Amino acid sequence: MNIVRSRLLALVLAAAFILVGCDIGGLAGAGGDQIKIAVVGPMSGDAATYGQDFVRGAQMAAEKINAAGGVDGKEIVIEQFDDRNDTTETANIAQRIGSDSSILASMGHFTSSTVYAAMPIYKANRLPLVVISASDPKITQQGNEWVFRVSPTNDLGAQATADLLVQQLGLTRIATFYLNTDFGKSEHQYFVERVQQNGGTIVLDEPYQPDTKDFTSGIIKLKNAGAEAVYLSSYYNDAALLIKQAVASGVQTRWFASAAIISNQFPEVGGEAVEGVITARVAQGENWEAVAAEYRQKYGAEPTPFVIYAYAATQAIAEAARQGGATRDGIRQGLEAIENLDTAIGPLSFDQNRQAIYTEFEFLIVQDGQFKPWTP
Amino acid sequence: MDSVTIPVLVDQLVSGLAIGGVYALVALGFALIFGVLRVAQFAHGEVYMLVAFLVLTALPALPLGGFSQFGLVLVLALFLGATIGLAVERVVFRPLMAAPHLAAIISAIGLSIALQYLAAFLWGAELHPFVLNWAPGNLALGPATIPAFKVVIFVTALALLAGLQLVLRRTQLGRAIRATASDPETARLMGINTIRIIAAAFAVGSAFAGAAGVLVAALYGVVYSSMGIAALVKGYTATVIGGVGNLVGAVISGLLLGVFEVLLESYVSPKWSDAIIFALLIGVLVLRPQGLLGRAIPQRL
Repeated sequence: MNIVRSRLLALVLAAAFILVGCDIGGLAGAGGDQIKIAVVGPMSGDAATYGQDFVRGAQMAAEKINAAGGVDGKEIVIEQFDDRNDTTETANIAQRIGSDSSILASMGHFTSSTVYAAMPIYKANRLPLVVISASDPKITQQGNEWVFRVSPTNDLGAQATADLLVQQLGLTRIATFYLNTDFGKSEHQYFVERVQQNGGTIVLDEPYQPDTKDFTSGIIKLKNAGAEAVYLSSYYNDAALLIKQAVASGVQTRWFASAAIISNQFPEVGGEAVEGVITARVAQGENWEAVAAEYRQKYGAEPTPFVIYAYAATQAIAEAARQGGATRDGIRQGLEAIENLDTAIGPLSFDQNRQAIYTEFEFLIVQDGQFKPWTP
Repeated sequence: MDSVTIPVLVDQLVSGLAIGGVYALVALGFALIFGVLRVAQFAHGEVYMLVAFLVLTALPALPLGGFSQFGLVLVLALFLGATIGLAVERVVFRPLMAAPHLAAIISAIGLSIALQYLAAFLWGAELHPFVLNWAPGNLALGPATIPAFKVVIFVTALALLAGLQLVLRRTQLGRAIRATASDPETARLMGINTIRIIAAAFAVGSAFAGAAGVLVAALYGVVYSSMGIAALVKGYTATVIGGVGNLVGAVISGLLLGVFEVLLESYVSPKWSDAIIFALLIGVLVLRPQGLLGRAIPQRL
């Protein structure tokens, strides 16, 4: 038994050495006539639809680029990987992608937690990663020069709403509720800081636990806080329930919330109580709409933003390969050099932290059970 | 900001009593079943959830205005709860009556999981809005303005609890239930059909769970497939704190638990209230297993 085990161990070690060998060989960048891009995300389990969005967006962009002659005659090839939205599995899969010398760039990992787990592995393998959904602003502030992000960070919408409230609408006494998770806490913190910078006052600062369905105690505080407006760092279910229960308790105020409430479920659950709720998201221009229309035609459904971000990431990687050369390092340098590239999200430029720059925001309001554009 | 004023306190107490009344209904049903069967009905919360879903599905067929819809919904919930309770007893518990208690407990847990997935499969795992036609608005109670519906919930819960006390104290069936709870063997020797009494306890206890389910659905405005777990955990906590098998204790501790919870969330933090409540539960289990309000003899009804 022990002999069998030690032989097995020897085999595993040998296999590992071979893999490492491949990796070193891969640094040279075996290109051929293909540019292979890994698309990683949850391809199974609860969040599988997001992984599917990633693949669809990347595939649509690749088809378009290839139809126009590819990148200097090289074909873009998308290969999908399943990280199951699990940090342990993410580490394994990122290592596998990094060790495959035919892959020249990677995009994805759905949440900030999985991106954090994958980042050092990409750096060690000298493979560029383009993030297309995870929204923690600190991801690109780690000094990891192999990590880029084309999707927006969660501080932007919170700050845009804080500016709207205090500067444009003159609402200065503001109550906040936030989901007590990494997402809720960080979004809330950016909102509060910006309100205070603008001279507003936070009159209620109320956290709640995930899966809360009873907001009674917070609502009683809200009734007595004298707030002119409320801002929720929440997902659609919590936000809809909180507003519904508050309105039923006789609270009359103006409601604002994070872009995470944008879902058909929000007006569905909230009903009449959520009419007039306002949220901010990055502006979606002509290019965005064009890709969305193509998606609708192809799949008969409304695309999520992640389809568009995957599309734009593929365009950026293709352009980077064109400028910097079809190698891992060439693509990294090419991405850094991108300036006002015409992509699905509009003109794409990265800041010095390799974060895509967003400047335009649009506000949405719930009207007749739907999110509609709104101007202050 | 956290200065306590009378209107705020009244608001908090009424809210606590409303949700506490719901906990008391769940706890009482759970305690009643435990009393006659000596087995924890861990799928009790799923009865509550299923009734809420069934009533939600039936709502479009009940286009009555105002209070009559509320009354009809309540009666329907009691009836559906009793029916489901009888079915659960017949299918899951009666075949295991002679088996070790552990077998019944495990099959109850299995039933709980199966019913949650069944509901998620039939209706979907998302939140479903639950809105009655009746919106009683707000009530001025001294200097405080409180949602009238919370008072309605509290009064409804109290009425149901009082009704059960009356049945237990004054009727033949009530005496039989109490006799079975205090000593099943002797009760059988005295000519009581204990199998029927156990079924009756399931029907009544589950009817209460059904009523609690629709009251909560209307209060929060939502129904979802995992709502039974939260209810059972709070109901079970109230039962243990009140003293397992002690019905009056279950009611009192259910009401107190509701109030305590709102006060903890308001004056400590929503982040800690559940942790504190469950620490209390563990403390009671370790230090005073007969419950804060119970006596050392658990066979009391």
